[in-house]
Amino acid sequence: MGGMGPETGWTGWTGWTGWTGWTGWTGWTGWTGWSGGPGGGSDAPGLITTKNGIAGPWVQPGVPPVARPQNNTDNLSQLNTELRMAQYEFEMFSRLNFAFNASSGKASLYHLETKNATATTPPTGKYQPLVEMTRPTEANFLDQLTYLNTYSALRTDRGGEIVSQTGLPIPYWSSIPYMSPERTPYTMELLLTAMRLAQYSVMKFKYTLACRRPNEFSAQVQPIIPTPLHGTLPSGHATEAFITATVLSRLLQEIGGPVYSTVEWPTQLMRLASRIAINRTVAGVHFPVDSAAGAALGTTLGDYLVKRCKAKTVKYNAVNFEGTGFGGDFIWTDMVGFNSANKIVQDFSGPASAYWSAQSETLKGSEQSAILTWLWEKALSEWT
Amino acid sequence: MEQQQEETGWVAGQSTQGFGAIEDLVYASDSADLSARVETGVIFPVLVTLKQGTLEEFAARVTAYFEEVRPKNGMFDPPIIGIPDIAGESLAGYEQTKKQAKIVEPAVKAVRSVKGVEGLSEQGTLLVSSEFFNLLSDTSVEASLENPVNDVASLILGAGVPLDSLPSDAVGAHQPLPELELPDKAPNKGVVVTAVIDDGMPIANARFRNALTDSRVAYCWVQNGKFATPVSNVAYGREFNKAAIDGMLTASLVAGTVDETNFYRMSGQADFGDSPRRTLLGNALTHGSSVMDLAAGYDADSDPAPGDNPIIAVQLPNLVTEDTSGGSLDVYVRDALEYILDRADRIADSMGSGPLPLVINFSYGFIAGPKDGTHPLEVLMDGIIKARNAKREITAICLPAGNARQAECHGEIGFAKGKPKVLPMTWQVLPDDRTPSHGVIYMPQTSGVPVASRVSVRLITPDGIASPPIEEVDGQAWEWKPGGGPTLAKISYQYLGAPTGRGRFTFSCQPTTELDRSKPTAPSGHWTVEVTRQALKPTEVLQSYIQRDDTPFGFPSRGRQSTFVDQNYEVFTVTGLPVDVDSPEAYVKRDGTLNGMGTGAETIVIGGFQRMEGAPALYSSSGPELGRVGPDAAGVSDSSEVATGVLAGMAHSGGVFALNGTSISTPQIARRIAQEMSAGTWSGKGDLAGWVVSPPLPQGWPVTLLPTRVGAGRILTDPVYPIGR
Repeated sequence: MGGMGPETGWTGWTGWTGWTGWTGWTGWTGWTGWSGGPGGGSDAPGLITTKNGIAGPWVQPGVPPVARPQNNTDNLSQLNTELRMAQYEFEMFSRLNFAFNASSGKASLYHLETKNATATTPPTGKYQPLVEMTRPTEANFLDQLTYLNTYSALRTDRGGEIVSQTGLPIPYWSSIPYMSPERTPYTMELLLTAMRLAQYSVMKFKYTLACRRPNEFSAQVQPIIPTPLHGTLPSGHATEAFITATVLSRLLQEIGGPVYSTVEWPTQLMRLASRIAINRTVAGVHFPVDSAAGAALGTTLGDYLVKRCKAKTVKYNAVNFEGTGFGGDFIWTDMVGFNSANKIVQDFSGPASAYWSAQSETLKGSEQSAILTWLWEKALSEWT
Repeated sequence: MEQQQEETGWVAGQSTQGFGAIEDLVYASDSADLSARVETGVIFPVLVTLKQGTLEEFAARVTAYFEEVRPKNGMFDPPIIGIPDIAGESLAGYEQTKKQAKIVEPAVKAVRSVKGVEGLSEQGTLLVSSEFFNLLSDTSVEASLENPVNDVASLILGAGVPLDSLPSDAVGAHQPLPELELPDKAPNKGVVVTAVIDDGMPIANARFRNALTDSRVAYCWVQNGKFATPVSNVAYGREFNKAAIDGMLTASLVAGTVDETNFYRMSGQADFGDSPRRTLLGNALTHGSSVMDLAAGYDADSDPAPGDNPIIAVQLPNLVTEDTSGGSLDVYVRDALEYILDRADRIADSMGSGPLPLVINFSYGFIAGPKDGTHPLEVLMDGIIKARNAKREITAICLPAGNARQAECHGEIGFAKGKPKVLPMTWQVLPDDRTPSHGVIYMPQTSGVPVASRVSVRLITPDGIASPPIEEVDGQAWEWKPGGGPTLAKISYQYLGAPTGRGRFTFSCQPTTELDRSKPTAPSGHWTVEVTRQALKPTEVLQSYIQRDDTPFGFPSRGRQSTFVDQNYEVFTVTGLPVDVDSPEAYVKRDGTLNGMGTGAETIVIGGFQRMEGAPALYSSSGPELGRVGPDAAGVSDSSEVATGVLAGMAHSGGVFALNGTSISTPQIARRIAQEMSAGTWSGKGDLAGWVVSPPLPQGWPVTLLPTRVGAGRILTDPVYPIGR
């Protein structure tokens, strides 16, 4: 604020009168009005007078600077986080679409595989599946309601976590690997990007599937935090938590080495994701099936995002989540396992086969995003 | 008189001789309101002590009596559901095997019989419906058969078990393990069995494993677990042996570590899809997790258990823990003890050993009881210890002294010369108390109801509406039914036969708040229990206790502790220090607050003290009691005055938390006893005196080190978690 109190600024307004009149040096006190006025604290007045003082007569330069490369990721480091986020989000959302089939009740998130534009033609593309969901019936949700009662027994146990996790639980993720905005700023941007992808995707599903919250079924749920306005399934917290766990564990595994290649890292990250998700049931704002749908969406989007960050042709799992097929409690170990390389893999077998399945789709390396690749490389380079 | 009673609301109560006690306990226990039971279909375990005959004979007589007095077309539940017998044969099963001409003699009679106690024949558990109580309490019925209640010395009700937790043929499907006869020889060297009875038992915790999927828990009985079909070796709940536990550990492996949440889902100990009674181990911390860790938790890598240290864990049903009066406790504890003894023998059998050294830790307590060693649980535990130690010192049962020293729930009533002959005791009943409150007055021992009543007692409501006086007339009772409505308060007298042989007044009132407005509530505030001396001698002293009624750790709040209020009871000195000595003017006493089941002769009762200052914890209950002077010794219950509690394990592996209380000091002593037993250096509870240390108290510290507080003295065991506190 420039250290000037508001009182000075108000005096400065009288200075305007003086200025207009040219009379009286009191007009000059109007300059304090620049600094102290409402919303004040600008360096502009000082810069005006300084330029007048030091620039001298105009000298036209003879030589221009070298042109900057166009559409080049080298330019990204010259932006700030907020401006880069706009780039990442455009990269992601320009390749997504959403549709709902009223007769089947299927809500679908699609990925757009593009063919590059040429000098004269716009890009073309083809939509392929990414995530499909159908919602549980209200009767299914009613069966699930008993968990809102039994899990409420853990409220005193989890209360502190629940309240501090109402926003993005960054401190919890940061307490597992050594992350902070100062030490690993690009990793934080990567996770923010993941969370943004999760957020917009889950909001589309919530809006489309329109599932009622637990406190619409019974007066006794009495959640301990305000029930959010959007639909209950999928759980936003679960989606964000599982996308974060997936992306972060892939990052650490790519860093590798004696420490980050062990299975402990993805295990702890997955346990944290599950705990954040289940805490929402303890709080009284979600059913276990919401967490399962969120885990399905989050793990799929996490894997997908990481693959979009690579200029490599790879397959991904396009998953289908069947809300009516889910029963019982949310058990993350039913949905996620680890392969021999300690990598998180989605598990469609066993009890989980009742509610989700997958088909394989391909991402062409040449069609992926240089901007997202740049972000991934930057994040990787922060870890030794 | 009648009209007066109508105006006041006090009417003569229903109290059957010998049965009155159970009525009052039913009324006062948290599982009261029997009429609701009929609809929900609940089975009650009830601990029966008989004056004559066997349990089977009694059950048969009840059934026959039922068949006579109840109309055949009436809608009545059969009174007797079954006789669970861990090591014996259930009644229905007995009938079945008899048909198959395979008669198996019920075993382990030693635990069932109350040998050597005059006037008692057998003691054991029956599973009954509420019809059992209706039948036996209605003595107005005309019948050719005698009401079987006349054979009953005492009935203690267990917490009801919902019918849906047991399949309808559960009791019949109970298949006890084959009878076992151990060779009478010394135990194998280096082996000790540690048994823990508590709630929320974290059997999957790494502290109880030798390796990743190699558990040290040989047997675990989850008393409120899902009944195993088609075969269960326990009559209710669910049992896991080591093979089953190792199997669940293996099945819970995720990426090379045991997912303990999944384990407890499998074992039913944290099953959120089921009854709310099975969620305790979803919490980070349970009472049982700290206790079990201190008693038997070892780090397999850095500090392994000495020798061979198998564990037997019994998890009490949550409902029992919630009812802190202990009223529902007896049945489950009795069965737990019988189970532990049996399974300890099976562990011995599996290694070709004679009976093994066994230390049992049971960190529970309640306030009211005869305190003279005659509570059924005290009789049971003393009997078990004496019988099992007949040849060798191989059995120890450790109990906490209690945390009630400052609870203001103990009143001592005496009428020395010069004292007024009426003592009004103020009984403060709190508002928003959702469980009934009750208290007792124990008379000095007599053989039978005395001819001349020693005192009379009146119960006076907060508004001053006094009951008529009650004297020492067995079964006399007054109930307060203002406006002819439901009973809101009650006062009664029973004579408790052998082995207690004492008269007892019981006063109780309903909860002071109910969400369901149709349920009766008593007024909160200052009630008066007014005792008037009659034939009582000036040297005779009565003991009055208000039963424990608070909300235990980890449970939603329901009960609120009622207390005595005594103008002469000082809490702080003029300089603000806590008062730790009793004043002769006050009838409320800090002394004489020992655990209601901790006054037996054979059990090891442990108080608590602060490690740093060496001072007894202010809350650590103390004697003297009729049964004993004080605890046997004191263990570490707190690190210091400010760092309360002792670090102990939590539900999941890796967690550590400081919990305080004599529940916590006791298992540390049990741990040491187990170590000595394993090393072959344990020769009985007299050894404790040799472990005692005597650091002086800090100057001016306002507590005493009398034997009533610390027994033989303070035992400073090595901290289980030696982290700088």
